[in-house]
Amino acid sequence: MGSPCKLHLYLTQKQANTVPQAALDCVFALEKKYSRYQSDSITSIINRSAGSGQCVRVDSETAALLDYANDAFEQSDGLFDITSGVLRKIWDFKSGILPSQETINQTLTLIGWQKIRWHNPYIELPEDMELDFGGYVKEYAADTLATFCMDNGVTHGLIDLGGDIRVIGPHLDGKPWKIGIRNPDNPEKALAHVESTGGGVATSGNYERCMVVDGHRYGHVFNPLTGWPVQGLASVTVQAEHCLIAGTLSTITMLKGRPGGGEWLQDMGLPNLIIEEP
Amino acid sequence: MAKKRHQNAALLTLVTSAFSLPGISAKAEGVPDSTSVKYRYTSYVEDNAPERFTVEGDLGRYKIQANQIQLVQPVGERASITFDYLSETMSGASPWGVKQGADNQPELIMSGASIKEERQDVAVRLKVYDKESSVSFMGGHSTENDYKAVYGGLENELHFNQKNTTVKSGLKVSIDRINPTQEEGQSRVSEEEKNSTSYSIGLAQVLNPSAIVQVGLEYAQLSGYLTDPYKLQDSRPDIRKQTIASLGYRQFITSTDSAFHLDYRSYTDDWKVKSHTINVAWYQNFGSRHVIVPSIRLYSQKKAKFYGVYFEGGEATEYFSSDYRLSSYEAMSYKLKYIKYFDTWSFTVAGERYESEGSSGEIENPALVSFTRWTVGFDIKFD
Repeated sequence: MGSPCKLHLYLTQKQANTVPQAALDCVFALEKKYSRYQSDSITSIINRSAGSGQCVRVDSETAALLDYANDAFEQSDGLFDITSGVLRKIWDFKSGILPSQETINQTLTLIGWQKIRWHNPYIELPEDMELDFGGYVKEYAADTLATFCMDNGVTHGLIDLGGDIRVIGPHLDGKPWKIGIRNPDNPEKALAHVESTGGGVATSGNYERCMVVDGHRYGHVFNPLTGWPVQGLASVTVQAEHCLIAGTLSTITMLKGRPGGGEWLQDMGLPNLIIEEP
Repeated sequence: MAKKRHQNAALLTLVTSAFSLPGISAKAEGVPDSTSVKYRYTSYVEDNAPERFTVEGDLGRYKIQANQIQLVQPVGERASITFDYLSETMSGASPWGVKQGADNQPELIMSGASIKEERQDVAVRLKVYDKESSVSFMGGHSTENDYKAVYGGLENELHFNQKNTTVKSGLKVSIDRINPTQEEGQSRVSEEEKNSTSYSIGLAQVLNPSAIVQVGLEYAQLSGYLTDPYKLQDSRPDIRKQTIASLGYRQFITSTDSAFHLDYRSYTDDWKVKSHTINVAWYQNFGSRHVIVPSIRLYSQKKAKFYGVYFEGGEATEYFSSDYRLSSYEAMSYKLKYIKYFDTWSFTVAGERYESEGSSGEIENPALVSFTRWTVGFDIKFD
C-alpha cells in the first residue's frame, strides 16, 4: 500500500490463529489487484489495452469501483477523476522546476473520465490514457478489511492503512480510539485528535510532497481540470461511516480548495476538520 | 469538529454507490441486491394439420397460452429465493397416428378438437452464495388433469482464476404420474409412472476481455412408461438414456456495441435419435435503453430405431411409434426480440416462427409441426 499500515485488533485465541494472516492476505490481494506497478494487476491490464480498440471485461468488484469513480466524478463536477494520474509524470518535485504550460496542456488531453467508455462490465480507454485506483483503493481496502474482521467475529479494533482509518469497534473497555490528525507544518506532531468507536476517518493533505519555486509552494494534489496543484487547503479530515466515503469527501474538498471546498463539505453534515494554507 | 445531522444528495449518491462494493456490503458475488419480478405472457399457435393428408379428426392443432411469473427475493446477505409459477391453457387437436393410404401415402389421424387442458407448475429455488461458489436447491410440482410431476434438484457453481473460470454441476430428479383421460373406442393405460434423473456439468471460460466460451455435458436417464398413451400405434422401451453435449461462444463487439452468441447442441440417445441444433443470435444495443436481438435456429434430427411413418396392426416388433417427434426431420426457426429498458423496469416483446419438414430421402410425417410464438412481458426491480 506504499505506506505504513497497522492493525490493532482484540482477538480471541482462536481468532488470533487465523484472522491476522487472512487479513493481511486480504490487503495484499487488493494491492496486487489494483497496483499500477504490478504488470498482471487489473489496472495494468486495462491501461495496457488503451488505444487498442479492445475493451476489457472486469470482475464485479472492479466494476463496482468504476461505478463508484463515475459517481464521484459526477458529484465533484469532474474533480475526482481516476484518469488524472498522468499529471504525476510532468510534475517532478525533486527537480524543483515547474512544467511548461504547453506540457500541462498536452497532458490535459489525456485526462477526463468522460472520455472513457465504461459500459459495465466492459471498459475501453483511448490511446495513452491511464486509470489509477490509488486515489481511493486504500480507503476501500480499510473498509474491506473491517468487513472481513467483523465477518470473523472481531468486534474491537482499528485498521490504519497509511492514515486511512477504519474503526471496527471501541477498545475492550468501551473507550473510543484516539486518532491523531497531523499538523501540516510539522507532520510528526498531532495537531488535534479525533475520537471514534466505529467508522472511517480519512485525511487528504497537500503537505506530504511539495516543492517551492520562487517562494511559491506547490503540493502534490492536482486539479485534473487545470493540471496545476490545488491551492488553499493544507489538510482535510472527514469522519464517515466508511473510510471510502471519508476519503472521497476529503479528496474532493481538497480539490475544490479555497474558497468553495469547506462550504461544500459542511453541506455533507459530517464531522470534519479543515486546515487552511497560511 | 463541526457536525451536522442531515445528509445531502451527493453524499447519498456516494454512499449508495459504495454499498455495491463487495468489501463494504459483505455480500457474496452474484447475490441479488433487491427483489425483482418477471412476467411473461406467451401465445403459441401451431399451424393447422395439412388438409390433404388428414383423414380423420380436427385440423385445428394446439394453441397454448401461458402466463409465467418469477419472483426473486434476496434472503439475508448470502442467499436468494426464487419462486416460479406457470399456468398454461392448451386447446386444440393433436395427432393420434398415421396410417398407410393409397399409393403408400401416409394419412394423418387427428384427435377431435375437444382437448382442453390446463397445466400449473410451481417451483421454488434457494440459492446460497459464498465468495467463490454457490449452491442451489430446487423443488417443484407440475399438474395437469392427466399428468402430475414432482421434481427436485441440486446445482453447484464454483469460480476459479479470478472468476474467469466457472464450473457448474447439477443433478435433477423427476417423478411423473400419468393418468390418461379415457375415450370411447380407445383403450389406454389407466395409471403409469415415469422417472427421470439427469446429471450435468459445465464450464465457462473467459477467453479474453470480450469473449467467453462455454461447454456442457448432460446425461439423463428416463425410465418407466415412456410410451405416448394418446397415440394409436405406440410402444416404446421403458428406458431411455440421453446424452447432450453443448458448446457456446459469446463475443462482445465494442465498435458496434453488440454481442454475437453462437450455440451448438448435440443430442444422442439409446433409441438412436440423434440431433444437432445451432443457434445464432445478435444482440444489438442502441444506447443503453434499447436492445434488438435477431436470432436463427437450425435443427436436424435422425429418427428413432423403432420409428416408422405408419404401422398396420399386428406388428411383429416389440417397439414401434409413428410419433413425428421421433422421425427424421429438419427445422428452422427465426426469432426477433426487442427489449426496452426504463430506470427500474424493462419491457420485452418477441416473435418466433418455427417450421419443420421431413429429411430428404424419408417419407415426411404429415404431423410435423410449424408454429408461431409471441411473447410479451416485463421485468421490474424494486430497490
